[in-house]
Amino acid sequence: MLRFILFLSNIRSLPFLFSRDPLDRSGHYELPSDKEQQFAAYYKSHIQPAIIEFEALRLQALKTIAFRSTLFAVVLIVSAIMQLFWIIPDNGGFSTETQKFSLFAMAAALMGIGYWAGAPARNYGLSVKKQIFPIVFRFLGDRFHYQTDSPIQSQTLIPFGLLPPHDISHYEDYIAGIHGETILSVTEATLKRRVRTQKTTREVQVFHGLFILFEIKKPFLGKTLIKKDSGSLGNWLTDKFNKLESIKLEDPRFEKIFEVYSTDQIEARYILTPSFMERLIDLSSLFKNKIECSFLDRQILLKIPCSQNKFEVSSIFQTINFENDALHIIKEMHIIFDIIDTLKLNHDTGI
Amino acid sequence: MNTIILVLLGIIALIYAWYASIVKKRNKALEALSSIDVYLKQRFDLLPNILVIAQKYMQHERGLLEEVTALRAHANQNYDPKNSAEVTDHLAAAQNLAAKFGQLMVAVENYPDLKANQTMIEAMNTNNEVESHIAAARRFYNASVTVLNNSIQIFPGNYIAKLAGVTTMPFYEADLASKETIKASQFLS
Repeated sequence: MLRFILFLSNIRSLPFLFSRDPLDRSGHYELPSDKEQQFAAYYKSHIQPAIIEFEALRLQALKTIAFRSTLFAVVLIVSAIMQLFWIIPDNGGFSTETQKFSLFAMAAALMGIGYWAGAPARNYGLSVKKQIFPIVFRFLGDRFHYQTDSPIQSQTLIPFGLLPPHDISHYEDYIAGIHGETILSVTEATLKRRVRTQKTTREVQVFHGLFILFEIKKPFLGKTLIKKDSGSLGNWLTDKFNKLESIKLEDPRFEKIFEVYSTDQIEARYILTPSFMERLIDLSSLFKNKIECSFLDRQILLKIPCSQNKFEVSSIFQTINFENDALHIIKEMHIIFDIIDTLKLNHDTGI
Repeated sequence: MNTIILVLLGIIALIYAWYASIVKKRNKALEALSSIDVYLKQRFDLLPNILVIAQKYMQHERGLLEEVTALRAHANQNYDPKNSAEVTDHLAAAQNLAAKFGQLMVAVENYPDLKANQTMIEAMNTNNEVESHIAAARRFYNASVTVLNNSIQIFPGNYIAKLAGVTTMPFYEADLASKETIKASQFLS
């Protein structure tokens, strides 16, 4: 019942399962052994002391959830009895409209109580993210910074040309730091579009995943987009409606995976040297050929779709062990560092 | 009768569209060639700075410096972009200059004082950028020429190209020296 309540109130409170997301490499990613040892020492000195405080918080939250869940169960049972034996049957004497209204009111009340019941779990997760995650990210370097809400919004990313059309956007889990000489920012995004039919308006998710912004030394002329290949028809349609020129490159493997568009034929080829194309192919293979990127001014935007929610806390029902959460985060960040190293963004000859 | 007229009009429209396509491709290739010239001009303007600095330190490389100066003058000569032979000569001159300049940069390695000269370092960094852009421009040019040459060498494009006065254009090829196998023993002793 507790887990059912949490499912109604906040899907993100579900236990962290082994991911079925084909784009999630963190479960299989192995940190170098010296890094694991360093992290173990860092965990002991910086994070473990917080465990006692958060374990008490977790147990208190579970008690509150238990109480509220019991209340939910009582309200559910009483409402069900009322509906089944009094309101719905004909001898209740209620009109059809009254019956419909009462059903609606019961459902709304149950959803409200369910949301309220799950609030302690959400607050617990938020406390861990606000207090523990920044300490975890500092293991990567003093210049690493984490916050739950993201200053990056759609207005920042739209000029890059990678965002799908959307009406609703939600950005969270903002990480900023420097790896080598490359400044990077990461944010998790969920984009939705409103689809209007004759009777209703529903929201359709058009993107969920990570946007990673790299800042490098050299400015780029114009804009160069590297998008997933959409097949012959998709590419033809994109060519027709795109203001950018289609760039045909020499590498047939690259051409099979990506379609390149740019405002400048030469700048696109200046960026996409044969060696850089090879590196991009290698990177793309790690993410099932679903990544896209855009080069604009001194920035590179990488778009990585993934179905799973990243940078989350494990279940409130599990005994506190931040080590797993923290190690998972460190692994995810090292995958991003691998991107910088694979693309050689730290090197002057990289681009 | 009307059908015949319609068919004839259709054929004329098709031939015109084909002709227009070939002309567009030729203009694209000329645009690409012009892009190469923009970056060759940047290299041309940069070279005197490098040569003046190099002359102060590289007394024993006088012959090499004079060769680079002569090739620079030759590479800067005007040419007709629509004349295939002149384009070939122009691109060959640019490639010869690049090759000789490359030798000069290798020779700079033997002069630590020159290598450490700040002005020289900046000039070489700028030159590296220019060379990267020349390489990119060359790839654009070769891609445009491939498209043009395909369109005027495949039937019936060859006949339409003759009517339009459009001919094939040469590729910007690497020089023979850079295609040879490099023997490490020549550099390591």
